[in-house]
Amino acid sequence: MYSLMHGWHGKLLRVDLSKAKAQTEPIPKAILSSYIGGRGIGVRYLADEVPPEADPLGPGNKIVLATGPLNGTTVPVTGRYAAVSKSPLTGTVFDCNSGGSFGVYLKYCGFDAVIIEGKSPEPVYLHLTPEGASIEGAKGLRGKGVKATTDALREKHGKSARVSCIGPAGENLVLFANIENDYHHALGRGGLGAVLGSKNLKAVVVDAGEKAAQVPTSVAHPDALKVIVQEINKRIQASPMTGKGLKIFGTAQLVNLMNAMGIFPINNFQQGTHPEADKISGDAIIEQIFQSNTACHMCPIACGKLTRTGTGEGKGPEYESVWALGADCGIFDLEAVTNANYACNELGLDTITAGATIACAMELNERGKLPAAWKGVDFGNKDVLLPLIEKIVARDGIGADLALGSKRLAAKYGAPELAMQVKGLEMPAYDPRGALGMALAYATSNRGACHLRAYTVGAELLGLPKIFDRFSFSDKPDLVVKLQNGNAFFDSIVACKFTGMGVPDDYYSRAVSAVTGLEITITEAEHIGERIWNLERLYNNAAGLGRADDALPPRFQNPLQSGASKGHVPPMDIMLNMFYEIRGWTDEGVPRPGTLQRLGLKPLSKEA
Amino acid sequence: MSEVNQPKGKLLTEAIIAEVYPQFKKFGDFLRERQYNSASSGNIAVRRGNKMYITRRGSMKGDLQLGDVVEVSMDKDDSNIVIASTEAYVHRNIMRETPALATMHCHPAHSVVLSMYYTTVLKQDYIIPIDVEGNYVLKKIPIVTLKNPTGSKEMEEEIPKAMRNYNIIVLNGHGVFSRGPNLTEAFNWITVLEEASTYIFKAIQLGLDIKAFEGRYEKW
Repeated sequence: MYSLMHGWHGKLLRVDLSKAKAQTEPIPKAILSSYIGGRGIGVRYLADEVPPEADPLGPGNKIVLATGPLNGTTVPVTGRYAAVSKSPLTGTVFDCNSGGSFGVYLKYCGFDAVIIEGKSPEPVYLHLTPEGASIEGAKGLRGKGVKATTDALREKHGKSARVSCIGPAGENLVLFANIENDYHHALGRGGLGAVLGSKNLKAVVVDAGEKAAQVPTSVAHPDALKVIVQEINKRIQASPMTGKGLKIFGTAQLVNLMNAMGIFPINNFQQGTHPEADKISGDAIIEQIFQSNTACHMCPIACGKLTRTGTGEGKGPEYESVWALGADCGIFDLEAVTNANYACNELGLDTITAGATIACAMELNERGKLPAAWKGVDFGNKDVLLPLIEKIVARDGIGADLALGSKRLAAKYGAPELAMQVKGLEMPAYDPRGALGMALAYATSNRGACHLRAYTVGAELLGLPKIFDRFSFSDKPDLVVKLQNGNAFFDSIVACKFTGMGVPDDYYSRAVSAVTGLEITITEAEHIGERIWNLERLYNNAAGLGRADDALPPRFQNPLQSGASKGHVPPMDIMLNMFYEIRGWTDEGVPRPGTLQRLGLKPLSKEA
Repeated sequence: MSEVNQPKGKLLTEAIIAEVYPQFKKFGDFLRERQYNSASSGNIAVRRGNKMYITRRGSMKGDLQLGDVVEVSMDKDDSNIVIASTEAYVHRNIMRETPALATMHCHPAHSVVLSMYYTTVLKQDYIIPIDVEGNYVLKKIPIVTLKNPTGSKEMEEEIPKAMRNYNIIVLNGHGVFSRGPNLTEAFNWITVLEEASTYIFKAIQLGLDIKAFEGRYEKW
């Protein structure tokens, strides 16, 4: 049936942990061409198979690991994979996306996707090869961190095996536990590590063997692809962002820039700039702790920074991590922030939510909302970082409150307005009062406050592709919709968004066309992204979310008092109304029948 | 603007035009400086939600006034359509059928004359730049040849179709249409194309074999 298929294998693996059974099944061509891969097909299967009211940590939830048509080809930055599930942190559909090389080795095993369902009675791990799959016991791995788990599984299955696993945070069902692959790369933010933990699944090992055994990805038009790959590489090399900034400084290159623009949040978003920000900048990382660059599979950018402190070594911190565990907590000690980052990575915690939840606790404490047990949880106190991370992972004492994220924490202590979150997901490292597009992007993101759904910072501050006025409002709803759709497509071909800082958006749709043989223009690509976005919205609507959830915390209706972004607030009602009009949604944020028809979607039934 | 003081209806339109007009003015001036238009030819348009804002029919792009910015619906015809640019339907369809949030149309001389040369002499319906910048940025520019290349239904249908995978096209013997996420980008494509066309024009004058300098972008 699929012998003539290019780009995809046309096959998924379904793993039922309750029955300890794994079997392959075909993926209909219509799903592949309409949803492409990664996030797209993950969301499609989730919407079809997991009821929107399902308990995210119950056996009825599923998790889809998915690759895309470019994985396994020569197209740069395509070593990634996606995971989609219902999030225990937000209650929404949730996709995340990780680099390294696990994704491409999953594809080498001959699967476009893996659907994991049910719950094992005992800790297990999943072992995939081109010949099939097996479910193995993992009792001996219980309680182990990411490095120890990965080392143990590679010791058993060989160095060519790639490992994606959870740490103790996932086992203990911390609501923002990550899944970590290839030691240092994370499927982060929404607590999908806890979903694996709830299923007693410690790890997935992809064991594609030597090259001869690996299942190749067929390319429809190799000559055309060669030209496109050359052009993509040319662009990556020539761009100051991808060819220089990310390569030299990593993502933390943004610290000084965002601080100067007045949108670098300090002390739980109480200010937008700080005189000591340079101490945790990309420059400081390179000068003080940098060891070497590291790159994902097929990536010429190599933004990863392997680092070493006086007491540890690892990867990062990235921009978001150095902010969340640093500036947002009023901490500007690079050594302390880096060690906290290492701890999160090793234990399997999301750094943004970990830092932002601690920052929320610090403000609650500052305002006298917390009891004595929280003594010392103060802005600027670097000594509390590591102990708090350990308590979160163990869900010990005050750590049990922190393990639920900032929304539940602030609500418990009577000050919900102090949680800097949307839909339960903590806001990342850009104050939306200094980039009005980000305000709308956070508010309308289907997975909660996220910078990766529509990174308007690129247009509003970095001039990508050309600069927008960051304080204008009327052009932002269209920009946000365009970026949301484009990124939904990009997450579905499963490539790294950093290329967007150097490579025009049509190059990758041309690459998908050359690989699959389908004609996918940039216009069609955004249409596919729009379909995925609306399907996610339908799911969230069915889970009970609507207009009231597309909102920022009240803090953002008060302007910053100092810095380059002082004096502005986002006009949320106007922008949201325009956004709904563009999307073809009702005033309550529900896709209209005509919109669904245009996109080839149907309303979701409650019983998926 | 504060959350409690947010304009609606006519006041919202005025607030949007207050943001849009300075941009129209700036790019209208740029078009005049570069002599890409006659006194009132060409159009500038942006999308804002379910509205399009476009230059008034007959407005002088080098001397745009606040009243020269016309609001029309993206979804249906309204009475403003009679004072909007003659090409309003083309711009609106480009915004409906491609990722465009801003569009521009003008008549840069070298690009227009090359469209005639390529289609009649070289028998080729696209331009591939021969200079490094043009090649790097544009790769390939389709030439669209129509029976009725001014204010026609054919234009409204064929130009958006041709722009589904290209940021700029040349309408044979008439002018260029470009698109982008904002006017800066749409204008940028025009300047790069016109510069690339100037190089090709001069290369032909010097008797150079332009084919020897084209990149391998026939299938782009």
